[in-house]
Amino acid sequence: MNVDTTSDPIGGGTATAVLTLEGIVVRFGGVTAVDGVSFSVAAGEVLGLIGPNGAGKTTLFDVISGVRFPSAGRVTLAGKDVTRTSPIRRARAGMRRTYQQVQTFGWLSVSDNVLAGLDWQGGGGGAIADLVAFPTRKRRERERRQRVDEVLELCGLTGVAGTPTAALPIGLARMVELARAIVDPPTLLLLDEPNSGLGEDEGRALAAQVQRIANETSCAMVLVEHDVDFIMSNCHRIVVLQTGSVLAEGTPAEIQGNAAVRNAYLGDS
Amino acid sequence: MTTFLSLVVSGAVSGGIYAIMASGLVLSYEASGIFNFAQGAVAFATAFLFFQLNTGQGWPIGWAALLSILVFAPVLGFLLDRILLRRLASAPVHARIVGTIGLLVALPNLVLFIAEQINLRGGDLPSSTGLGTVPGLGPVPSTTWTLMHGVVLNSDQIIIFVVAALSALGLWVLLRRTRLGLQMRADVDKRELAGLRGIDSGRVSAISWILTMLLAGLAGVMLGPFIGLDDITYTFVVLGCLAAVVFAGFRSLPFAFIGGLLLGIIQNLVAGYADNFLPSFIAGVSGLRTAVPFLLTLVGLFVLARRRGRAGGTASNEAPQPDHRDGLPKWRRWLPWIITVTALIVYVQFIADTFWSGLVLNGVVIGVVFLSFVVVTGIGGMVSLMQATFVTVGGFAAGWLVKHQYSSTTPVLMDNGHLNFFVAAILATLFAALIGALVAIPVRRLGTLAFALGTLSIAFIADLLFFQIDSIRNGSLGYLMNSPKLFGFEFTSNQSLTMMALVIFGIVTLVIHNLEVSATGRAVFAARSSDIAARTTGLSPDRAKVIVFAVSAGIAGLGGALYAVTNSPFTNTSAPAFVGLFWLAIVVTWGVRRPAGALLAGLTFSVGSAVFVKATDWNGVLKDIVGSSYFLPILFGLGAINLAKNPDGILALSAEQRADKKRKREAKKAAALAKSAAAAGTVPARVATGVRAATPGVATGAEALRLDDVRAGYGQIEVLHGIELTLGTHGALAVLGPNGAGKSTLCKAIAGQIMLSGGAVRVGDRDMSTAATHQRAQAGLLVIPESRGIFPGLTVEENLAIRLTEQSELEAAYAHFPILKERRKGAAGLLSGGEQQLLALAPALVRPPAVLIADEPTLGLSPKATEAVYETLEEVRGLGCAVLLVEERATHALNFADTVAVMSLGRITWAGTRDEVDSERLASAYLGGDIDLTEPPALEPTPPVVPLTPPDD
Ligand SMILES: Nc1ncnc2c1ncn2[C@@H]1O[C@H](COP(=O)(O)OP(=O)(O)OP(=O)(O)O)[C@@H](O)[C@H]1O
Ligand SMILES: [Mg+2]
Repeated sequence: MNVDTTSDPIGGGTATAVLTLEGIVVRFGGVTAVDGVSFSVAAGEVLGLIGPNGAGKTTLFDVISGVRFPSAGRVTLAGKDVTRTSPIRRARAGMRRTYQQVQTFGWLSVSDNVLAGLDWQGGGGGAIADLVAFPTRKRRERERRQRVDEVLELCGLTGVAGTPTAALPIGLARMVELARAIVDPPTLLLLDEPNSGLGEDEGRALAAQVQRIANETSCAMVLVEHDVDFIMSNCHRIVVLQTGSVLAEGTPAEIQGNAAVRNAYLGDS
Repeated sequence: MTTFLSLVVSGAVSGGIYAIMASGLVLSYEASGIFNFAQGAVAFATAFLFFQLNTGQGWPIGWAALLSILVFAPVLGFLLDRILLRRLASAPVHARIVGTIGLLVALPNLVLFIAEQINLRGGDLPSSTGLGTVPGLGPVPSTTWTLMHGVVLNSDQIIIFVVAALSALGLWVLLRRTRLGLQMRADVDKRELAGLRGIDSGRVSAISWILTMLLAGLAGVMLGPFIGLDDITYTFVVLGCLAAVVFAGFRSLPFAFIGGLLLGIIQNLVAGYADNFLPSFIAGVSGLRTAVPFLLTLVGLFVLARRRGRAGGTASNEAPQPDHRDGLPKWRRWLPWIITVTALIVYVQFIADTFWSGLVLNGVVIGVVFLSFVVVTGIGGMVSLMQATFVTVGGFAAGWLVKHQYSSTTPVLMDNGHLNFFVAAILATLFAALIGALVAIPVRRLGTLAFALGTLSIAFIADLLFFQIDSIRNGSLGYLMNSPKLFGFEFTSNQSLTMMALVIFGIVTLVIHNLEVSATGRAVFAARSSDIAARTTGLSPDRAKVIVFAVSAGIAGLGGALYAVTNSPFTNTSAPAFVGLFWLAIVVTWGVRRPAGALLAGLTFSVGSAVFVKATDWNGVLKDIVGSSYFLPILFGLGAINLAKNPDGILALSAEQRADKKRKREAKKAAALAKSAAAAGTVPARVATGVRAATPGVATGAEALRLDDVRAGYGQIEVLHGIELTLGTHGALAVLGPNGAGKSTLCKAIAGQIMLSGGAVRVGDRDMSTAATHQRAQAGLLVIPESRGIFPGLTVEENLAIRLTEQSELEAAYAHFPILKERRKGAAGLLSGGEQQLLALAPALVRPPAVLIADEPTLGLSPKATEAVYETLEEVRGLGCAVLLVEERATHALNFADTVAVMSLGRITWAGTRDEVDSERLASAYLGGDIDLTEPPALEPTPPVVPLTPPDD
């Protein structure tokens, strides 16, 4: 992906916005974790979300994905207000996410983990299909397995397709999470520290995937990362959070030059 | 008014007993993570001993109480901790539940069995279950006082009240105000971490169980005068006090106490006034008073679930259990089935007489019921204690349908104006499934334990209220069933009925298999690992759980219908709620994940209960023992206890052994192959590749940590192949390497979380190679494990206080990390990822150990926080703390460490000072490029030590 920040037409414009946040506030008892955050992400855009520990990045992801409802504010997904819709409905509408602490389905094999990403579409016969192996169910499952195999290949997981994910090292487990999130092509993808705990090679493979998705699909992405190089080289635009509010917003170059950001987040590195 | 007051006062007394029991349950849950279903069993055992000593042997109350409450109960607690409870603490939740249920089944029977055997051998133990004949702790006869309005109070009641208040207070102080209490809670919260922080799990767990059992014994003895000596009643009282435990949210002792009192009072008031405000058909039901606690429990659980539901976002990760059948060819999986079923058929058709074939028939029918456990527990991971209720529902439904006369004469469907049994059975199955779905919809969100308690409550409510209503149970005689007919064939003989039952068993097994590999099955397994990730993947765990529960209820209902037709008449005591507990114990003993386990469990259940009937024909000791009605419950209780840890039960044991053997065989083969290859000269003899990493200070200063040829791994697989390193007292060593190099395994081996298979670990000048984790910690070694080295259930301050015992140290930690101060009263698990990492590091930085080992300490930290951590590490080092850092990426560690070691495939492949590091070499060492690592590790000669020369300063 060539991040051409000068002539980049996308970003910010509400017309193409996949996700819009307006005045999001999240309070936990006395703690205000997110305090009036607004921004939007356009189709095909990669937005970096950075900020000190406890700035509210993961909480914001929870709000976007519906795991947690905000105390105030509005979440709009593809023009629809989803502030109070369940995470299940949002996922079915094309929003997928990964977790800071990897959450694969440990009982299931790698390929079943990924297959689970398509399962919401139904087994071809409702609850009855779960009990009886109808031909319709078998056919559907075959088609889905094919799609799963493609994604596994793409993510370099073909070799471990049959392994239960509980036994995987972190790098592969993160890949499984990613594969599960993209198997049903999403319109909005939220990645929470996808690079953390990965080795150099694994980090490169991950970056390649991020760039591929950005270039080949119209999926909007939000990336939370503490690896500054990773963020700077993979995002079109960056939003910096600090204690729950937006501290700065801009292109990677702008952010890197921003004194307030250096002071609050980057340090001297 | 007088009635009201007396009801309240006497209610407060039974409430006092509830309060003691509830405090004991809260203690066991808080301090060991196990909800002790066997509390009543222990209470009964203690009371029984007290009764035998006091009434039987004529001991004075004081001595009898001393021996039974202060010696017997604690010793029982200690022993149970050693043989059972400690192992259970790390088992999955359903195994924990089943383990203590096994105890509940085994213990009272064991006590009664011993008494029976003594009497059979000429002993003369009094037996008393009568009220008023059992003494309590107070004087006999008890002193009575009359208060205002003629309300009467006796000495037994006052003692109960005082003891209840004192024990609740004492326990609260212990858990919330003492170090021991903090250690107990930390140990429950995260056992591996507790060890790393120097907490002796064994000691903590023993103490908590000794106290729990002491409390149970105390309550037991005091209960005697009120309820007599009947084990079932004891367990009922304990299960009754669940309402108080739930009211306390499983954790709060003051609320458990208040809840217990309220429960007693409410129960009494309901009993006293039911006639006034309830319709007579309900008020007239005899079980109403007993049912009150269960109704309250249910209400409490829903309130609790509401509260929990809002906290969403935390995943209750259940670690998966390996399946040892993986990798077996298909025919090998089917072979045992084919053999067993063929043998069964041959036996029933040609060999067995009516008695035995009847037993086999019954066993297969019960096996169908047991298949419902495979669905709900094996697949769903839920522990349902109401399967017996669904059996009764199914039996009643089938009975009701068949009993009625219809005018239709459709050939197959109808039979003489009555519905055909098979049609009725299908409808009964659907009806039971419907009831299951109705139950599941509200209870689906409860956690595993709450779910178990909820279903248990529903089961008792159904037994005590609904199944007592004559129009439901068809009077006390129940439903009479005729032999089933299909296309004119009448199943009358045991042989034909057994074939029918086997076919049904087979069909249900297929359905279960389909369910397991369906989208719903996957959704359930997904939610067991991470409910929240399942939701954000678009799956609906709720729907999946409801389906699974409904299917299991349907299967149990089908089993009920079959049971009704093979054991006619079917009454409300054919499958009482209590037997459901016993069933669960048996199924778990055999293995709850597989249909085969259900079949074997059913057969054992049926044949086993008949053996002691047969045993009356035998002679001698065997007859006494096996013929005792207590024998079988003891056996299965013990079975469940022993196998609760393994979700695959007995079946898995054999599979595990097979897998073990196979591994060994393969290892042997590989070794032989290698030997012949070496002899043939195809493999060149290799030079050693192991490198010793040593920090420069070592030559002059003392050694803080030394590893010699450390080998370790998991099971048969060796991961570390001879690690050598030395850390001087001020040294800083960075161990780098890619994922899978064995870095975290190295940390575990040093910490003592996995045992060495060779080599030695020395901390300071002490050999710690075989020491337990907490001993190493106490010797000055602090290991901060990879990611989330915190106790999520404790508050931030409690997390710190485990290591930082001085107030000034706490202040220092807060000064370093102000965010922790802001959150100090909140649960640590709610912190952000980076905040949790800071919390994990803080105790070590404020009070440095002699040796600090940190596995990826800056994972998830912001660049600035990372810098701050490294600065503090530098300071700590200045204070004489030796630091070993394990990092995936070199960036920061390279600036900090004076020596760098690179690990690859379980060896240190390169080591040198920071200045010697050049990135190219590092990269190639990462990939194992310098050295040939293609050979199988088993072949490797012990690498001779290649010490690094300390650099010239
Ligand atoms: N359930 C909760 N209850 C109370 N406080 C919470 C809860 N969840 C988060 N917080 C607080 O809200 C703040 C924001 O947390 P969040 O996880 O969003 O941070 P983050 O930006 O993702 O940080 P990190 O980079 O460390 O992951 C933190 O200070 C945290 O302690
Ligand atoms: Mg976060």
